[in-house]
Amino acid sequence: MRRALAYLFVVGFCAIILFPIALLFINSLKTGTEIYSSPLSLPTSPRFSNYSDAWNWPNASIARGFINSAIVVGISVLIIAIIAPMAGYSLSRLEFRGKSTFFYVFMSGMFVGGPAIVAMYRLMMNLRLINTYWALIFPYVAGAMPFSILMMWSYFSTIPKAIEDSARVDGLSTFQTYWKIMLPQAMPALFTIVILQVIWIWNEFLLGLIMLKTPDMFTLPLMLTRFSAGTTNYLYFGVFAAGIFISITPLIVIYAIFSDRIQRGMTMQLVKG
Amino acid sequence: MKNMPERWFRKIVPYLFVIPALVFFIVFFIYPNIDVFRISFYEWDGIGPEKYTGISNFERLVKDSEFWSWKLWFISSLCGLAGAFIGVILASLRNRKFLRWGVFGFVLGLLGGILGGGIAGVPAGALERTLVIGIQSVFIQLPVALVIALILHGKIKGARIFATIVFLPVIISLVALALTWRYMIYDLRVGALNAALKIFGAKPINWLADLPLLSVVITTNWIYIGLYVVIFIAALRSIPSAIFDSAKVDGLSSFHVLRYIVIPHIKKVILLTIIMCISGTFKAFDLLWVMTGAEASEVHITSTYLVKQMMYGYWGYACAIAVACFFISLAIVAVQLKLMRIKV
Repeated sequence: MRRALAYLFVVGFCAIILFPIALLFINSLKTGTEIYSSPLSLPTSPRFSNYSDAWNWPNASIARGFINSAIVVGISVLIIAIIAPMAGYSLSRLEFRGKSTFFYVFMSGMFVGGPAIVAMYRLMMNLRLINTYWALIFPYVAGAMPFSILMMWSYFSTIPKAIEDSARVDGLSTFQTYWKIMLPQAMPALFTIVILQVIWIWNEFLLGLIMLKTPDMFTLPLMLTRFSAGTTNYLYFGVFAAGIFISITPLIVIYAIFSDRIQRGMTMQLVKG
Repeated sequence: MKNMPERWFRKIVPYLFVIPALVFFIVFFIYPNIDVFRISFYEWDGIGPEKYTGISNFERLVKDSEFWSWKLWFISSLCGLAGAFIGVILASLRNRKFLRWGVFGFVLGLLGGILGGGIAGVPAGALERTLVIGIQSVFIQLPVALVIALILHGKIKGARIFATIVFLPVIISLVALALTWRYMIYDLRVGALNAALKIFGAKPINWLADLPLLSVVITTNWIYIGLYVVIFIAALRSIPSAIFDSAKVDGLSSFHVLRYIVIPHIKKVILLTIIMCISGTFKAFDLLWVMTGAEASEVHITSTYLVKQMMYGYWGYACAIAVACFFISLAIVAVQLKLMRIKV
């Protein structure tokens, strides 16, 4: 009896979680008129053209936002994936003066600060980068460092020292040891970082809001706000729902494939403390 | 002699590995975060030259009733004093340490006062609203999440799928979620809530206009409970199952299992989630900004109020807000660490 009740509670909670997203999907296949007359009903005949309309919406095309986001995410994550493992490796396995200072400098970012947007804007203004992709990419990369380096650092620390020593005996330089021996070993951690950063950067909104001025540069979250201004009305409500649904689809797909890894990655340090 | 350059190179290699990351981090993270403190002493409109104005931004902040209002604080500190009183009495009855129980009672009373006052509609500024959202999430998200985590940890069928579903909102863009809730759930004419009210014959409610704080709180809880469920499941897994088994043999009730086994074991994780709840609200921006209609809205939390001031051209003042929030969230973390007597 108590088991059944517990089961019911969890199932009910999951239903509440899924409801808004399911409703969004259902409404994305209806016309605006249909939504207004019966907001909760299923579509009489699914209207897939909503998706192409949203994709090519004039002045706020979801396609444009999608491409901009893909560019920003792609470049940021590429840079992160190159520099974070290097720093993590050096801080965990190599010996040099000031090592712990470097480590604490990076870790300070875990606790204090955030996107200091006013100062960030001033910096980008002086670098003449306002309204470019770089105004987002550089801060994203910097902001990703504490978490990514910590992940790589702790993963490298678990790899046995003997592997490195045998590489050195074979005459490999530090860089070769890193590139040929250690980095391939650390691929699981690197992969987790890449997925998490893709998610976080894809969803980031505030920095884009401040840095980007023209709609042709807007990343997806920004484009959505602009898009919603033109579509949340009697005529285009279905298109609106379709646009939102397009924007969340990539992440839902990634999450469906890597849900375990994503959950573990996002909660890892907390539980380990 | 031939070895000299090589040995020297050996020495700097570790630095070469760190430098790219360090350069990015210093230029685009540490420097702006420090620069915020400097700009908070200036007047700046985001375009023209800066003008040094001393502490005038902070003077304005202290007087700004949109940022914080003394009424709620007055009521809450009365609650805090009452809490301290009860704490001291309890301590004396049970022979515990007065000071710790007094301070604990004060903090609990203060938080309760802010939460209760905020819900009861005492005029609140952005700061209090942020605290109300943060504190309510401690009292709602964490217990619900712990219950669900305990159920899912108890070898229920399909536990993995359930955990995956409840975590789903955490990975979706807050802007998309805010728009979905704003138009699919809360909308005056097509929102699901009003459609449901209509079935029961009740009058439709303009949720986001009339009950903005409640609406935002509901959506926030909807998003983040799943995060804490997954965190708690991971924490519960770290408890040796032998302990649960022996508790079962001893015939402990599930309340006692929770009180004497689960909570002591995951104390540290609970503390961290409490900090996450409250300090996370100071970083929350997207949801409220999009749901209540950006800078035109009357309802602000600290982060949206900061951006609103930027949009109105008060960039120096925005930095003063950021500085204040920095110290407030630092204080919250410090107080909690002290109270729970856990060294990090």
